[in-house]
Amino acid sequence: MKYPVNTYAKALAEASASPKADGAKIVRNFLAIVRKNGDEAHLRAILRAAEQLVARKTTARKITVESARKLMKPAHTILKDIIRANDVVEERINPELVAGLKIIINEELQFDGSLKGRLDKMLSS
Amino acid sequence: MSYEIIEKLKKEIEGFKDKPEWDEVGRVVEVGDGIVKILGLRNAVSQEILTVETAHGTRAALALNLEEESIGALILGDFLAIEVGNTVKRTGEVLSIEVGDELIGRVIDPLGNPVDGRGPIFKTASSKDGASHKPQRNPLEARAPSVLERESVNVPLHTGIKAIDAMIPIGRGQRELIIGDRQTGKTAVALDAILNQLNDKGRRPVVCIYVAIGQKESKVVRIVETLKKYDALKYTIVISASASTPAAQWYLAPYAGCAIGEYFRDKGQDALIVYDDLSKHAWAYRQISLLLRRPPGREAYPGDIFYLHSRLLERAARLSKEKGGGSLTALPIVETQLGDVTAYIPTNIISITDGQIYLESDLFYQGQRPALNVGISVSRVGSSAQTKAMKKVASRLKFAHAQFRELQAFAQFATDVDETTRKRILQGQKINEALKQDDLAPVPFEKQTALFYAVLNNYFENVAVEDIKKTENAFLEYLEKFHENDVLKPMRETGALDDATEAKLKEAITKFIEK
Repeated sequence: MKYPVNTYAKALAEASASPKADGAKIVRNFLAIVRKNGDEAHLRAILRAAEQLVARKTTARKITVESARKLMKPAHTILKDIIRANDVVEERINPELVAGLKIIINEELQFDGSLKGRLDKMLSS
Repeated sequence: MSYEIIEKLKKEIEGFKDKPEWDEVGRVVEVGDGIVKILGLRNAVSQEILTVETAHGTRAALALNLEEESIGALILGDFLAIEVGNTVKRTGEVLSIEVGDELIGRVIDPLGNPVDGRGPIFKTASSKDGASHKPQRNPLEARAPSVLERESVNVPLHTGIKAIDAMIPIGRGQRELIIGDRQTGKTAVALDAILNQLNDKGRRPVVCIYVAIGQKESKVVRIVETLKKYDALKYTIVISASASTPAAQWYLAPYAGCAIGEYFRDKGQDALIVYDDLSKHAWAYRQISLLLRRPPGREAYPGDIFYLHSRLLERAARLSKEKGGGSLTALPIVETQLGDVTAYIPTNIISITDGQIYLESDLFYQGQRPALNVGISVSRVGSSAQTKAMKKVASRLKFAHAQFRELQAFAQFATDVDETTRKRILQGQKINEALKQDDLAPVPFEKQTALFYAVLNNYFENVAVEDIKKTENAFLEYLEKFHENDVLKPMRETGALDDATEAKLKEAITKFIEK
């Protein structure tokens, strides 16, 4: 890898933070640089890191709700105490959780209310 | 049967209470060569243990680099299971190791896991009131004792090696470096020092810790077998970070050993720790630092390489009476390349320690074993810890040996030398012969004193240089058989050679020579 993941992520986050940023141009140029350096294999990690950096700089939070199966009510209704108006909510189905749900805010704070989490904790205690 | 199992499971989970809480988490963004880069965990502290949740279970990592956006951590254990995107959690704990008397006689890895195949070290014993006793945990990184908590080094730690005990004495709480090229007998010196603790009966017993850093497994096995054979494993702990283990283990091994040594030191006991060797430890730290992208300095070592060793060796100390009076003596080993003591790591450690024992390959191949270069070896604090008996003979020994070395160089050019010079050279050669010693054959200090007394007072005048070794063995055997109670025992118990014992010793030597 020519540059660390963090360096790419920082560059992407800073470029996209500019008010005059041309989204399409940034994406095109960024991908061209990553390809030129032969670091495409790390794109997923770079984007994840960039997302986290962007989230730190803005007031809008990225909230991921993971559940074992599709939630009966939309996540917004269930989590009305946590979710703010401008938050970006992503719902994910993860059958490994068995039951319950997991909430992750900005990839930095996590609430593990899943059965898998509880079983893991019990077995490791 | 199934009911039984269910009941057992119920019992197991009875005490388990779980209240889900918000946890601080991070994500692995880079992984490789035993290092992970983690994004998030902004409140993690340096040296904190982190847990990486992988598809194959959790893996522990040690936070080393705290950067603006990310954390560089060292993976402890198998790193192949870790993938980019894995969740990382904080534990709020710094790296520590379980310590206790149960460790004595065991071989462990730097994380405290047994590697000798003798099962768990600490039994999860419960007391009568039902409460289970967890062993004490000592942090791997601990503060060195302050000036007020220390006492000056004044109790000897006999190595059983004649040249060292007489001319480069080591005291309990001292840090004495063993330095030399490969295959010069550095480990043998340290091993003799461990074995000799069985002979040193006049003082408090010493718990020995041998830390093998990057050594071949076969060598570690050989050392353990030697310790067993000489009955020394019953007071020794071996920590093995062998050559096949990752750099993380090499890096942690001396700190783990030190944490165990501190347990005995703080309990008021005396402990001896051998770091074999710190050059390999420095290599491991260089590897970790370069992978963490820390800026390289001289010889590509990171900037804090001095602090790496100074903070480790500062923990060896003799504590004051108020603090229990325990001690931790350190014998770090450093390997030089082609005898170059001016390289980066050797000079660093020479400046940190309280003296050095320098082993030379030239001397080794000339048949001088141990291949100790008395000229540049030094002990800065040990002389005040030497016993009175040894001090009485050692001062003359040092002088006579120094004179001999000077005359020997001169005599190589001069064919005719006067009678006095010839006698001095002859006596010097005899001293040199008396200083030679076989591997794994430490000599108790009282026997050393008696031997040097005989050589320095010319009792062996009529013995040929080639016969000194034979005479020495016979003389020590004779003392052991016939003068244990009137010569050896008083010296061993009082540490002094008083007039009465000296007279008895003179008499014994005269009788031996006459025979």
